[in-house]
Amino acid sequence: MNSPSTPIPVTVITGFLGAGKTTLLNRILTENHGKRIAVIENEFGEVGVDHQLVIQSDEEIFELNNGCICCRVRGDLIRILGKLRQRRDKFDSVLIETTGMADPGPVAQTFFTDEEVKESFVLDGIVTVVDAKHVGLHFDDTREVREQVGFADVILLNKTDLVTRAELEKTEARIRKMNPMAKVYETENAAIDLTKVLNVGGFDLKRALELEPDFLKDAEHDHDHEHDHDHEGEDHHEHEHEEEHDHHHDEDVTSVGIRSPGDLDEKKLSDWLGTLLRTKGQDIFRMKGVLAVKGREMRFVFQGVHMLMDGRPDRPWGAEPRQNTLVFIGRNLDRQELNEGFRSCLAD
Amino acid sequence: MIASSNLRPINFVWHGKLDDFNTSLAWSQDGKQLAAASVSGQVAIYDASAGRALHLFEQAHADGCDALAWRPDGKALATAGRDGTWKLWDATDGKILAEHEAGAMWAEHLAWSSKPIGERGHLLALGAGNQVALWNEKGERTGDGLKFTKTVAELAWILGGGTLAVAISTGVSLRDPLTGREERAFHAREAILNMAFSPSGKWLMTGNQDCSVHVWNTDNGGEMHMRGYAAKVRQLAWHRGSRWLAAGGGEVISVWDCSGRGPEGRTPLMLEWHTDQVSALHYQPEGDWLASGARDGSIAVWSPTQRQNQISRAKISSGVTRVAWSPDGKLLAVTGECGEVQVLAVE
Repeated sequence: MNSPSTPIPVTVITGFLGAGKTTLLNRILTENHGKRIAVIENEFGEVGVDHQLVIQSDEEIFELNNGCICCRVRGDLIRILGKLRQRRDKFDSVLIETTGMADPGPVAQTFFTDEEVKESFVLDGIVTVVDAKHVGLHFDDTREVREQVGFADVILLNKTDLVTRAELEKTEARIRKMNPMAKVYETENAAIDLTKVLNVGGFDLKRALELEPDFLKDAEHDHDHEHDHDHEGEDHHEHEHEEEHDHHHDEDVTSVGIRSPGDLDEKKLSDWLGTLLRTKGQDIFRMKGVLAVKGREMRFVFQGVHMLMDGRPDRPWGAEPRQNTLVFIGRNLDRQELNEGFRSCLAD
Repeated sequence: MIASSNLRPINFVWHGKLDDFNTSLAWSQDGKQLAAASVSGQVAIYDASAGRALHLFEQAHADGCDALAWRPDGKALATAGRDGTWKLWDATDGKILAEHEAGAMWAEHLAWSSKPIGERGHLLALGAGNQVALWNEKGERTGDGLKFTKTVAELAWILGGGTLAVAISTGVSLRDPLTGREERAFHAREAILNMAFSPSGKWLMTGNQDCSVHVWNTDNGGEMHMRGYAAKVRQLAWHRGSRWLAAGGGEVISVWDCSGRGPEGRTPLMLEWHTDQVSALHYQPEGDWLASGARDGSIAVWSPTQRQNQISRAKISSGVTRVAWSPDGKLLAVTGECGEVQVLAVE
């Protein structure tokens, strides 16, 4: 376009109908008064959006390569963003409010595969608003709600005033099990410090590990309990699961975390990840990791959505102990297979 | 390489300026007027010989004007935009003759039939969201609207008006404008972004999300898919004789020979000179020259089948958004990302 410029950050707000997406949207618009924010809405919310630049659109999936789930992109977003970027006075940011039934996969993939979109926009984060009172039911009934939690960088556990502390903790534990990478915040009326939902860098490799501490803390916590210092790939979720005897059902959306010292063989790692994405990419929503590769001074960081992976060396390990940390979030993940696959990459 | 000395001089005849990215450009059929529109919502009508702005509508459409179409008599201009309306302007006094809601947030496509359709006269097809509506020369609604399952990507009249072609991402539907009935449908495997029917009506080409061009031979239903473009092919231009189709989709322009059995198995002519992505293409309506513009502001005029195929070159200060030859092919209008409206003449 006119001149190479910084890509415009895009925040995607998902959540079931009535969870409070529009309330959050209005809060962002009110508190950022004076900034140029374009809003793309995929459904009429229960609360009107009072804003100059609201574009309503119908969700339209472009199927590419014979409908492979990993190649689906959102045609409506490509078209709208393509027109928005024509303006000289560019927007400061874009907010996309999806329908309650939207699959976040094609939304995210649009920002990684469409060259025109990539040129002018960058996906900053997926914020999922969850109705603390009703989400239990939605989790059981509605695949899309589980997917929206699985894809999230930030989860607002909203309407906390309508539930007891015990119910809240139970819901939060369930969410954590599905997605240990996301930051979870308890809110009433979607009231939140906006620095927690905007500019979160959810897909930014440089910040791939900013989201890690919670995950590591959990992992280490489990680790201590296990009294088993076998460093071959931890799986903290299994442990958590055992603790929650009141949960009858296995979630289809789960996460698998692996943490292990030991250097990885570059060739084996590349083969394993390549095969994994090709064969299981459809079921993997998000993945992130920091790896120690044998013979490399730099940490290798990666993140991905479905089959799309972005990875590179980021900085030297320095004094930090070399170790591997990986998180996969997805549907029906086979934790044993993932752990074994990972272990097979350890250098001799 | 072509020696520049062999190129024909190009003259900057006159220029105008809108205040932001030019989205649309249209010559009146008699070539006497030129209209241009901007993403800011401005629409200007120029006297094509003198370059004087006859009318400047500052806020023709709030949030941007996306489409322009001259009524075939050249006395009125239809505009459509991101305020969800379309308007018909009297080109003489600048007054609004008709103004209507288009039925969607953005009204993006306009096309007048070049032939009268039955007793209804020339019809204007308007595409907004997933709907297409027809309007008459007075700006009155005619017939029932057509609804599609996806957003309309492009509209075109085949052979000047017998059939209306509507492209959506999943295919192209040919409709009888009088009854609205679907006469024929072409289903796409890859999402369609735009389309171009050959003037003969035989060839239907679409540019697609997977950086390809898809071809249908409407005579025998034959299809082919041409991959390998560096970018999405958003520019498709037909030669008047329906033999040559020029396509963008990167820095190189490919020109396909569609004579006889069509482009299958043939190698296109490759026009290489632009060093940035080609953003606009147009063949002379009555001649053989192809004009191209790129995102770095470079402009070229080609005679693709000649051994020395490049005829002339020029540059504007921002990226080219549209190129359009006047009906007699003597003047070339070019618009830019910063609002430039430049009219050129190749000697």
